[in-house]
Parts: sequence; C-alpha cells; structure tokens
Amino acid sequence: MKTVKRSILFLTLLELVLAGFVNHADGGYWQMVKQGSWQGMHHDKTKDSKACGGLNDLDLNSFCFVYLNVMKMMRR
Amino acid sequence: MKVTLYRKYAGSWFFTGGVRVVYDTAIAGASHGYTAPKDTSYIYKADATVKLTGTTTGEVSLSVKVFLYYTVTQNEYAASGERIFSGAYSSSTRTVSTGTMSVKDQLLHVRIIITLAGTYEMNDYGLSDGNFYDGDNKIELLTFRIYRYVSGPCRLC
Repeated sequence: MKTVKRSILFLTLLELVLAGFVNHADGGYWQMVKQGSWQGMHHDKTKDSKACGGLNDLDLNSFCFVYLNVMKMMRR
Repeated sequence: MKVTLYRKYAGSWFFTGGVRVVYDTAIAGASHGYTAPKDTSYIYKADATVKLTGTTTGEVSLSVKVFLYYTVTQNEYAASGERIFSGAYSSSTRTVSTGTMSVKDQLLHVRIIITLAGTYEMNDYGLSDGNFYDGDNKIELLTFRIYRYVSGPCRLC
C-alpha cells in the first residue's frame, strides 16, 4: 500500500513537472517588436534629478529618492 | 546602495559609494516605446546590451538594471532584471534581460539604470553622446529590445 501511494505521488509530481515543461516549451517563440538605441536619452533634465547630480532614479530606496523627498518636505 | 555625489566643478564629479545614470525611452518620446495591441494580451520582456571597454583594476563594480514598464508616471513597473559585474573586468559585451509581464493596450517603455560603485574619481564623464565613460573606461549602451511571446510554432523559423 505504501509503495502504491509513493508511486502515485511520484507519477503526480512527474506529470506536474512535465506539464510545466511542455507549457513552457509550447512551441512558441519570442518575437522582437521594438529595437532602438539609447542615444540622447539620459534623464538629467528635471529639477529634481538635477538635485541628485543630474541623475534620476526608479529605485525608490535610493539615496536620491530619500534626499529629494526630504528636501520637498522642508520646502513645505 | 548609498550614493553620495559631490560636485567639484562643472562637468566633473567626485563620488564615493557609487554613481548611477538612468536612461529611459520615455524621455525621448512615445515613439521610442512600443504600444501593446488592444485586443490581445501578450507576455513581454525587454533586454539591453551594454559594452564595457577598458579594464578596471580596483574595487569597482558595475550594476546594470533594466526595467520594462507601462506607465509614464513610473509608479508601476512590472519587471526588472539585474546583472552585476564586480572586481576587475576587461572589455566585454553583456546583455541584461528583464523578467516578463502580461500586457494589453499599454505603451511600454524601457529604462536602464547603470550603477558604478566603489571609491573612484571621474574627471569627466560623457553623457551627451549617449555613453557613459571616463578616461580609461567606457560603458556603451548599445541597444534595447522589446519582445513578446507568441504561442505556437514559429512561422518564420
């Protein structure tokens, strides 16, 4: 009985793994829809970014983000 | 990572802890992004290729983080990827990919954040030509690409 349960469990897991593999490799492909260069795209034009040395940031934990928000609070 | 910048004089920076530069397709206008179709939701990803020229010998590390996002307010970004080069490196080209996200009817943009960490002095770094460099080392931002996943066999392959 124990062996049967183990076999069922093994086969179930195997099926899940294989299903995941098949779904991942469903014959599809990555199609490039846009390609470009970064020429002239630096983000140093805003007042806030200038305060951070001409830099801007998406990372909300960054020093710049904290610095800018402290400065904004002080201005209020 | 804490970033501290000290301005020495126009066009020159001294920094400890690191310096970071952000490039964003949204800054250059909507035409640099990609508009996802209205009718069908696809899975998207992006990548960016960076070329390192020169050699570092000190404790310098380079992080390249790429984001794919779909709101110009920049509050909602759905995927990011990161690759870190640390220690000494010589000239090489690397491609950094984001994760994936499912999108329909949105204008997609790519943002790349380059962070150079360590204690280091740059006498000048160029931004106006689209690259990031000092006298010995140059980080060239070559291309970005946006992909969507198409199910089924490739008809073009």
